[in-house]
Amino acid sequence: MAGHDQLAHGQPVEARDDPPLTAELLCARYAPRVYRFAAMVAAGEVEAEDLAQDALVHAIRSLGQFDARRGSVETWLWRIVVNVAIDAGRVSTRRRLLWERFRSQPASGENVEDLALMRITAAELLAAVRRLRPRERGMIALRFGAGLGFAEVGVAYGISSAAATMATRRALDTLRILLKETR
Amino acid sequence: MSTSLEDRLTDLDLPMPDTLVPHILAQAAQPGTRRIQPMRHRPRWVTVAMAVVLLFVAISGVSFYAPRFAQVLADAPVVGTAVGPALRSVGLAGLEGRFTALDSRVTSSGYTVRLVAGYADANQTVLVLKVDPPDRSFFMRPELTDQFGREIGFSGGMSDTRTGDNVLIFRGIPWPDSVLGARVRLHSSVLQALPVGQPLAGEWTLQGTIPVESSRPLPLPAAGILADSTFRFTQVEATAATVSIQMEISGPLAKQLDRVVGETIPEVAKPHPAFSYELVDAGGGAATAISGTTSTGIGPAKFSATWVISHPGEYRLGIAYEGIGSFERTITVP
Repeated sequence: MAGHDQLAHGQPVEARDDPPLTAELLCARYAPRVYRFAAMVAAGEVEAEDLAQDALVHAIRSLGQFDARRGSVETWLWRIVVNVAIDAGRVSTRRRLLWERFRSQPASGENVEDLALMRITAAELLAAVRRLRPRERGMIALRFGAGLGFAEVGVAYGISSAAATMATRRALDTLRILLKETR
Repeated sequence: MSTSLEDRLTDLDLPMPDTLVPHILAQAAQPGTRRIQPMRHRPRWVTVAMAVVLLFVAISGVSFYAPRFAQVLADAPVVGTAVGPALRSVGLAGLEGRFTALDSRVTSSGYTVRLVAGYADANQTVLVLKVDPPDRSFFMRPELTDQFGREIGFSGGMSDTRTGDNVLIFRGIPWPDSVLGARVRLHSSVLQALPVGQPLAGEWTLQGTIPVESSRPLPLPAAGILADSTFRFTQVEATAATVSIQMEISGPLAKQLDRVVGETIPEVAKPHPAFSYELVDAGGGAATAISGTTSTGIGPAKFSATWVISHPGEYRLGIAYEGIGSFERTITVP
């Protein structure tokens, strides 16, 4: 993840000698990670492909508006991706219901988690991620699907790094509960 | 080997389809065009199966597929206070007295699970259970199916490991059960102690026949306007124990119904939704919301919510968007 490493070190992706950012270059660099993000937040493979396609087409059509002096390509791109994901119509459910009660239960210890995780298949893990609320899914997908740091996750959602860290941690706690239910 | 959840997520194999980038580049090269969505047809076999099921229902007339009309249900007592404490603990006290008594029980791995009572309407299905001994009474992944084998999604629940009381809440009973009544089958293969404990494997399958509360439409209130967005009511319904509404939202706020505002202050505050709603009775008591769903996509956004009510009368529905404004409408439940 060269782009991420550069971002993590505070360097813009475009160095002086970098080639101009084209649609082909944008896809070559970021499409796999955008798809990983989409696969985690969307309901299924078809929807993930739709979302990744929409987001990158949107970004390509907005290339003319990108200004490297105002931030890196990654920052600009992931804001677009997140906004497209929010707009794209994933149905969100806010239930004041009783999941909160389940969520409030403390997570089990690491050893138990290790044992449980070894038994959980990748498909089960992905299914559990997709059962999270949209915002929780987004946090998990940006952090672990797209490989962004907490600061960048925060920028994409318009919140602070600390808030992104907390939100991601809460999303992980919720995911643990769902996985325990799965098992 | 130690594998954290974070590692598993990072290592998830999610390969990008080879066709994705060519599709992106092709679409991007055609400014202003929208991607053509592949049509998702209902498979022919589903249509055939539905027709067969409907025909079977029409000609059979047996109580299994039409339990509402069976004598067994006609004589079923309605549970009163027996389930009250469990319902109150999850904010469903308003449903008390609307339950049908059930008495299905099964023992596996030394634990007896009894299906005590059930309630169903178009919006939710609520089951009350008792586990003995009570120390492992948390149902892991409960599955509920109706007489047609259709799975009814699990929404949430409550488990009290001191008393063994359980309230499990699922989604509404679909058509045609909502007309015929529902013969439901609950299955779970794992009971768990809370907050942590060794899962207990077993096979607990319980069955019960529940009448489905009919709902009646109520007059639609006038649309509300917040900023430049219109909140138009498309359906308002009431059962004897619930009120549900559906709205379509058009305008700038339609895509921001899931927006969260406020800061995270550890142990003090956390962000909350900007869009909120409440139903309050004439005495100022807030009805318990048991579901609230927003969906956005092409066209107007949609919002639906259901509350449990304890009595007929006038209710005040409040819709608010933080930083924008609010409006109220009156809903009269006869």
